[in-house]
Amino acid sequence: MASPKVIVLRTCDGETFEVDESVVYVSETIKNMIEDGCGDGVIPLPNVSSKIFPKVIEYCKKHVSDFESLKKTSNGDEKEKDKDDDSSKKGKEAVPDVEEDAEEKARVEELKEWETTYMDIDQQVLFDLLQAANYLNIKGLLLMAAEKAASMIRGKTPEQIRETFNIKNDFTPEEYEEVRRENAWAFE
Amino acid sequence: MAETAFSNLSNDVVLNIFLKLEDDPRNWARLACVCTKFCGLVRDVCWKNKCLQTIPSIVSDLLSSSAGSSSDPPGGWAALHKLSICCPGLFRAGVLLENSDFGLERELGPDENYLSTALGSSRVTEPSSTPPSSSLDSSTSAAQLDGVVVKKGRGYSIAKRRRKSCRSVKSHLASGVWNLSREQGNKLLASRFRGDCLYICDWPGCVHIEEKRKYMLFRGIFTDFKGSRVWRTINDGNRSKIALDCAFCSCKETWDLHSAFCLRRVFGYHDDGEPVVRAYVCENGHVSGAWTDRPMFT
Repeated sequence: MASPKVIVLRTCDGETFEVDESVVYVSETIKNMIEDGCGDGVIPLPNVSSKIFPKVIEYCKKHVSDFESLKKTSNGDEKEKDKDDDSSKKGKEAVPDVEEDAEEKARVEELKEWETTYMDIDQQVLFDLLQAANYLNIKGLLLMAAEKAASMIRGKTPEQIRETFNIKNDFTPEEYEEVRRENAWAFE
Repeated sequence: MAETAFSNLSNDVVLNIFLKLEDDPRNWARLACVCTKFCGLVRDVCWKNKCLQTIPSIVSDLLSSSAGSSSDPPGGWAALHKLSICCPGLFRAGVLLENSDFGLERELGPDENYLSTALGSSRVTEPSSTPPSSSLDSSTSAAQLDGVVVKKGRGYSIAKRRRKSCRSVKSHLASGVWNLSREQGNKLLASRFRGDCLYICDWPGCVHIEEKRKYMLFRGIFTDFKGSRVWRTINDGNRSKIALDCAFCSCKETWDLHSAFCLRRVFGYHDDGEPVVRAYVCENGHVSGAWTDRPMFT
């Protein structure tokens, strides 16, 4: 293949970023735009700020390898099919499996650590990230950020949830009494 | 105060977060109490989808039979979801109603002799104008439930002096499997009502071992209540409602199915006059009730 293509993107506040095609491909939205032929010009991102975009790209860069290894696996499968026909798989795969397992474990561990550091962010960044991941259709990032937000809600009372996120109680007193009564069973 | 960033999140992002909290039903219930936006999302999306996931046949029965092709079941998704997972609690299953004059009270009328013997407890209820439920809101502590006094036709009577745990009296997450079946509903109704479609939770329901006896509390729903024979019987017979509110929706009064002769007669009574089975239905077709073990010698 030719040298990696660089895509130019412009955030809503007018800043431009140049990113490798393989990296931005992690975003389904951008991928679709490129496949539709927008890859040669500047791709506009009206719903993403220059503040949050680098953070998103950081995730994409880390996860490009996922896409690469997925491609490899699918190629590998085709070769495996040919092998199946003649010899039994058992002997040939036993040793590589153990090595692969250890490698896989280490990789997963490293990724977890990276994610913990990556998600050590304040609320505003978390919400910007959620919105960006949603707009750019980066499923893994959206789920990860959603889990972080969920962890800040789990087990809390409504009052605590409001306090955590600075949300206003906009029920009327009557409405509030009713919703609390309906859901009293959740407050054991 | 700066406007919260959370309120700026689009609905589908918020729902993605809520979806992560699906495993524990209490999470969504608490979220519904945070603000009106969350309440709407939980009711109209989360609980609706949960019902579609867990009780799809009941949902399709409910929606196909609802008049005016409504997209919501009678009583709403919140009530239906609650019914699928919550026990009505001893109070709304009618267990705490005094039973000595069970079934006869409306004919004989109230007895003023009892009016002055009400407990000092602040939980004394007024004659049917005030629903008893207002005395059992989420702020009630166990200490205030020494005696639950409910008018039951003949007069005020004190159902239980012994202190009950708050949890068993009010609605709570049901023990046992959260499943509703029509077969179970058929076991409850008198034979001429078997054409009605009543779904009840699997046996034994939520088991409560009380001083007097063991109660197996159940909940259920008629899928076409206003088209049912039970409804026609109640309506044509001009049965009066009792001031026992529905455990699941906002109905303040319910009908007693036992005294309306809708339940199988074979169940009978215990020696102390308590019926072996009791059940109450609201206008939306939600049913709360309690089984007890049948006495050895009937």
